Amino acid sequence: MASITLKGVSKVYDNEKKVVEKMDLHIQDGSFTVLVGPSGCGKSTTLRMIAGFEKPTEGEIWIGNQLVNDLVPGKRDISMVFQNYALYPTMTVRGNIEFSLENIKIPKRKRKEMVEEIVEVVGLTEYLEKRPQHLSGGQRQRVALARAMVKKPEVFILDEPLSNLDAKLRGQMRTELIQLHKRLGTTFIYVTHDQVEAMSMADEIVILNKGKIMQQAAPMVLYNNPKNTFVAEFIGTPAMNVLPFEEIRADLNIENNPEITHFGFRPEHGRLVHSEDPQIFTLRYPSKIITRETLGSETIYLIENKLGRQHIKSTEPPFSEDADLALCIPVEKIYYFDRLGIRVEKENEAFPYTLQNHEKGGVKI
Amino acid sequence: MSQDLLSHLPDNQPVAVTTRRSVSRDFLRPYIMIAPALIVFLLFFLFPIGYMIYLSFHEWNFISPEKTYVGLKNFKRLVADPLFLEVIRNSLVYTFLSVFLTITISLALSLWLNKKGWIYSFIQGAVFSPHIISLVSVSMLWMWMMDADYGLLNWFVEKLGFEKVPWLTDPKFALISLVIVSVWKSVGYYTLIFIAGLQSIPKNLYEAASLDKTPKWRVLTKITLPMLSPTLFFLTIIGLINSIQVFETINIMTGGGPVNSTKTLVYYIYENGFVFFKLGNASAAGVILLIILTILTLIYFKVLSKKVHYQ
Repeated sequence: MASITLKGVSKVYDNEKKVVEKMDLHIQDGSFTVLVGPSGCGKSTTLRMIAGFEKPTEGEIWIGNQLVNDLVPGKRDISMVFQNYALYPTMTVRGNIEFSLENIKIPKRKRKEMVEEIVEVVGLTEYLEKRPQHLSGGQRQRVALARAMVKKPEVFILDEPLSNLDAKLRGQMRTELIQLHKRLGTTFIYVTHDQVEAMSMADEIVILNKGKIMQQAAPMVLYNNPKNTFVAEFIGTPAMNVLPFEEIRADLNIENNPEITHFGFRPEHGRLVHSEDPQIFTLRYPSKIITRETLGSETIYLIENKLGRQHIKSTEPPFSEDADLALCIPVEKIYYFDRLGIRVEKENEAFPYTLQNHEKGGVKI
Repeated sequence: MSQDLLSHLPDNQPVAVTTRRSVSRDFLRPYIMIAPALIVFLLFFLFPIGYMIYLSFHEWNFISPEKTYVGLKNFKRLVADPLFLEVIRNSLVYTFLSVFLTITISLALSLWLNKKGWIYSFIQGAVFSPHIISLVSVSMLWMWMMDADYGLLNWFVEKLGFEKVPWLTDPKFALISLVIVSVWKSVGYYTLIFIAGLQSIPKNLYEAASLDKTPKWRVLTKITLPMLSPTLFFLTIIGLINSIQVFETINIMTGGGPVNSTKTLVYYIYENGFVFFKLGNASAAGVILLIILTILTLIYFKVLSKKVHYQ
């Protein structure tokens, strides 16, 4: 087990495009850390630098208390699961799992024991003598996991391991990976572009954009306390509604804070009511539905009002599309952002935002 | 029940009514389309093969109107002829030697040249260039280089302090010399195909191997070569098929000599047919060549159909 530290790491390719820029990152020993961000954000490059496939242009990478900048991948005590599995196609499942053990000259009997123990864990015992191309996607994924696990590495790296699987299998593998992490207790670094994967599996999420860390925190902290509009809009489905502040400035009873240019609220915090219903929240805007997605347990609306267009998620029975509605926004659930998209928090004492306030909702008494 | 399910379909599907004329036209059209290719194929491939098989059972001198049927006599004579056996031996030695050397050298070259950088591209281009030169020019060039007295090779050999080598004039060296020419000519092309094969191996296999602490030679034997085996096999068969048909270099550089030491199957067929006008004999040897080539091709297709398509 080992922690990983990046100190001022940058990666610049020949075309002088900065893929990763002065990144400082600490990944805790034994944590399940997910690097997430849109494509091209530098998450895979970061991962490949940790694994040793790419050399950082500047900065230091530490695994445990060893500086690994000049260490070849094989000496970093890392296992990796690749997006397309990268199984050796000419070897059987056993051959694939055994390969790294043969390389370090572990005796045959011991090898056999280790392989059999690990395939038991991933449930592949009956496929030991098959070749990868005769296995399904999910089984190949398990072989890749077994191959990575058998080495008992300090750090486990997973590069979008679930993106080639179908939705149902992905859900299943997510649970299995969480259990696996619990059992092994090894440091997991997991790269994905899917925020749902990040939210559901991570102890800690690192959100990247354009080679920079936007925020690093536990899933629920990211959700409740986004540091900027990028994080606010990246986490949660649908994304947080971020709108110009001008429209509601007058409706809010606060002293003029010129810093604030945008505000946001989560789709599940806004509430749609019939326009004849009594006023329950401070902020209320007549709205009409543009589209409606009924998902069974919940309904997602795209609505329009004087603030612009917003997504609203509701667990109440769906409204008809032509209903005469009003959007109510609880003031406590509003986030404020400045011109650069940075969250305006403590400066604005009029609206202290704490986690404990959640349960109270926005009911005006 | 099934009727109910199908009830939405119309009861009487209108059947296309076609006239006799249009049927025959539709029937003929594809044949008319492929006729040019078919005629060329029949005229220049199938007919000569058939005619050769026919001639192999006859004796004919190219001129007389009479072709005497002799049954298997031509084949019996061939098998009994020590010269023909030597020809077969020469062909096999030449074929296996040149294929083995070409494959080995170009594989080594491709492993070395499969890198980025202008120097590697340049060497790759340089090695490839013999491939685009006509074989006749290549033969003339090498004849000069291998000249025992004035040749470039012997100049080097002498400079290095050895005795002159009678490249093309000694039965011990002549066949080897021809193998050298063949290897020189085809190594670049093979290298190119090998490099293409190497580049189609997924990079992350090597990344996985590097995380698995794989020593270099094991990467080569356990990953690169197995992944390259389809290419290796393809080139081996193509090489065998090409080398067994060697003719130009022999015709120009040695004429089958000295003392028949470079007489190979195709040259033997040519000599019997168009120098000695023993068409029956030549055709029988041609049939034997055809059988060898057919076997090689069948092996190729057999293994090709079994070839595993990885991932």
